[in-house]
Amino acid sequence: MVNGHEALVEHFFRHEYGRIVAILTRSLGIRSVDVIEDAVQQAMFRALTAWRNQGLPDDASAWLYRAAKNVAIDRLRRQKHESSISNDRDDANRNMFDSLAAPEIDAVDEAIPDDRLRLLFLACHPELSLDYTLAISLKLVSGFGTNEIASALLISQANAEKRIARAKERLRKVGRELAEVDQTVFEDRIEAVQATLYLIFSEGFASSVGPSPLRRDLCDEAIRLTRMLVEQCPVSQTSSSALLAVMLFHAARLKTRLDTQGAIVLLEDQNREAWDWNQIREGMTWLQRSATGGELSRYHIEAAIAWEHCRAPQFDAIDWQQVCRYYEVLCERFPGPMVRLNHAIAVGYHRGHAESLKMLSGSQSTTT
Amino acid sequence: MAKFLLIYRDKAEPATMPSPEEMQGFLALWGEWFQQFAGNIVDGGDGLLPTGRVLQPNGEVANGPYIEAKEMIGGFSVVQADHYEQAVEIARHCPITKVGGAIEIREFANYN
Repeated sequence: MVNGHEALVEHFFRHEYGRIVAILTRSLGIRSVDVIEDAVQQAMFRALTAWRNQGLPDDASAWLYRAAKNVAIDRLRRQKHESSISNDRDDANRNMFDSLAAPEIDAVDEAIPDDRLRLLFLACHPELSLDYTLAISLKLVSGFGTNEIASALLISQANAEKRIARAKERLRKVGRELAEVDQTVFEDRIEAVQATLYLIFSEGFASSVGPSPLRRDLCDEAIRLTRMLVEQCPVSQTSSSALLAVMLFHAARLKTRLDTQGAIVLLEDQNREAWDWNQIREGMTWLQRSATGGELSRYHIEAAIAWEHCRAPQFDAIDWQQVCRYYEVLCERFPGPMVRLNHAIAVGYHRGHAESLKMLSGSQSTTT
Repeated sequence: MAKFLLIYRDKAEPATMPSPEEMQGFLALWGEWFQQFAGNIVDGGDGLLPTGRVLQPNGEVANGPYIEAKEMIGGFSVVQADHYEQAVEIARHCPITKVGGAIEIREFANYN
């Protein structure tokens, strides 16, 4: 009796949400995104009753998609009927419904992740600030609820709602349609997408407020999306592989970052044997792959630094000289206050704290 | 053992929809409930659509269940238990209560 319940994989509903929103956005248009989201929620809510006795049916994904599609089309038809009996949009609407009737949308699993990637690029619109692309990506592509976005980002529910509403408004006004996300868009926005994914990860990683499963979820979700970016984006950039490596190296050490009371454990006190070595190995693979082009992004250097930390058998064995060299490159090419601070810390371990204080106070230092 | 009908009274649609993750959580709770009370649940029952017809003694038919939406019958299950206390205990663990639904527990008369 519980077989179907046992088949419930982790985050199934959340992942289905992003998948179905993406497919329906392709066929119904970004202007209908609110209707689409409501429809997917409706479909899932019905599934709660439909599946409660036996658990998930074999065709759970298709069931949810069909249910959501029917609710969405029904709503749009009613909206259209209510707003006007005849206007110049009728033909466009009829075409829209006709295309939905096409059976190919129901199947073709390979086409589906592609739509999710396009939706991510659509959400990372240059006119939206990083805070907004972060919120809207989590909502539409990752299937997080507004309440979950609020608590994961440590902002109020009202603030999260505002960001999402404004982002949608912009996307409806200036955004393209999913089908129009083409090679040019992939090229133009890949850096913005990378930045958004890195921010999602960092938000989850910088958990100074105690262990919350939601923030771990943010890290996992960022890795999942970055993996999708690496595997499916037609604009292949080694920086995406490097970004994935950075995330995996950090995520591997996530569990040992907090003690049982939820306090931060210093790097030197972390139990290296408890690190997730599968993740570190996978990160290594991506780091190697990222080294195959001429490109040198900040993610390449950050991955190299994280790898130096991972590969040392204990804290005393970290090659600080190498780490300092990487930071110098980072400071030179991608300067910023955090980079400078981390550089100074590394110099402190390498040559003593006096040297790092000198750096931070702005005096000249020699760190080769 | 006596049989009891659990009548789920809930909202057809909650004011704020739970997030996908929360919904998955509810579904998992149903799985646990069925497992925990496998020996008691005779029939998992079904949900009921929010639509309906009401037939009056005079033959008139009206659309929709009459009762206010807040206590609409959304579904039912059948369980067996030794007494009301046990039936209530089974119902107490039912996930319907987690989504704001009430459960009416009625013992079968066994007339037939």
